[in-house]
Amino acid sequence: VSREVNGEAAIPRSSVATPRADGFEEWVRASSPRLRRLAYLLTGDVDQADDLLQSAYAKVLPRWDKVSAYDSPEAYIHRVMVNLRTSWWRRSRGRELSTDEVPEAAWRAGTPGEGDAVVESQVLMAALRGLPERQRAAVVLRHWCDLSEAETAKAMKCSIGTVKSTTSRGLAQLRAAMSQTTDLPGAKKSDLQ
Amino acid sequence: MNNTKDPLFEALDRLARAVDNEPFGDPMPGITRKARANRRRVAALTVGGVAAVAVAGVAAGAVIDFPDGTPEPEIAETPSVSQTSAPSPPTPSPNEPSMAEYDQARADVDGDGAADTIRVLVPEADAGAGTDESLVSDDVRLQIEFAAGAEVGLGFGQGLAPTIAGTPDLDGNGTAEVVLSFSGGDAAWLKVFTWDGETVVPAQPANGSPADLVDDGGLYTEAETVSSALVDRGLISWVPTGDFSDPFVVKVWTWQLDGAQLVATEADQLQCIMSPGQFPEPC
Repeated sequence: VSREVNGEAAIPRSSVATPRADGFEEWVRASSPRLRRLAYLLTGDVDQADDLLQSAYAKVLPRWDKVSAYDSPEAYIHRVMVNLRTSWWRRSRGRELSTDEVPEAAWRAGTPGEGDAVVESQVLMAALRGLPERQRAAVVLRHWCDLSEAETAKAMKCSIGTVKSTTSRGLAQLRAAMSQTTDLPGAKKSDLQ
Repeated sequence: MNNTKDPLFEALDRLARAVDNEPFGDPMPGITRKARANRRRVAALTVGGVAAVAVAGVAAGAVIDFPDGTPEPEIAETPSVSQTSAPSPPTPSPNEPSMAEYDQARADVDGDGAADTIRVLVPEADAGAGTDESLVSDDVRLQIEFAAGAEVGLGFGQGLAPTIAGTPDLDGNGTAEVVLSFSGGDAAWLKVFTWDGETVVPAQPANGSPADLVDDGGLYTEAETVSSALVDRGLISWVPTGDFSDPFVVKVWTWQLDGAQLVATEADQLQCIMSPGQFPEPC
């Protein structure tokens, strides 16, 4: 006796990594400039930022059919980037040496003639790099991506209370670091208050 | 974004735009390359995880006992020609591709006390692919050949070919469930099939199951985000809590089978993963 019954829906071919997912490449090209900046803020290093960004896109690609239907695919990849970055940090923190050395890019953050902005970016990057990973992510997601506390909590997979406390601690450290720049000519005391 | 009045936003934005000055080529080749590497890595992790499950499962007696002493592999064997006395796959019609075994296990699926043969079948041309890498095939089937002579086939059509992750008794009724692992990209799905008294049916996560844990009717795994595995205490899923200090703290759910529904129960306490590749345990 042989009985054929329908199995549940097969995992579609589109669930397997394929570079031809409809609309994916266009989305990458449209979103990558901004997401690259986010990656740079999360990592503090251009090469690591590019690696993080590509890795995050590579994780989205197999699920693009679903992710593309989300209200905000960017919100999903925010979460992927934060998780990836935290995961990398967990794996590497035994070897990675924290340094106050400022990436070359940060020196060029301002345009010529904007000396204060250059120094500010230099100090800000050093301060960001000095933050624990979760604090850095919370600050960047809240204050650069403009996510709400709830959205940040979802991206970081933690509670809103944790977002509040983590962001608060991160901001306190940034303010302390940035207060050095307020002594510079032209710096605004009100910045970061 | 409407954050221009936030001085910190302005400072961060100036800093973030510094990266625009750095060259950035076409990201697509790198993305595609990484996606392929992820697929290979997940496949490798799945195989490794299953091997670990086998040891744990046997140690805890989680497998179905066979009164006749028939050895019951807890895990899928590597693809090979069946050596069992179970019936061979049906002869294909002239229009049908010849199907061959991709994976196999033996367990008492219908509860009659005798081991049945569980096969994953794919077209003959695909069957030589090893189970250590994801295989997408045009025709994927699960076939269970009962010791009494009957057989049941479940067709998945085109898609990922699963490996047999294990054959635990998830509802404690003395019959083995079949847990298949579909892995592809940087993700994997565990799907459960159970005997309903007449045939084998797919078990579905119950309505209201934690959304992160389920996808496409299966228990979802995505590296660093959510994981599911068959361990000595059954089928579990876990997600990071956000506390990434050592040990890695996770929230854990155990899946119970109720009829053909998988019901998740959250563990009372957070658990810890002591080192990469291990399963959650009390902290």
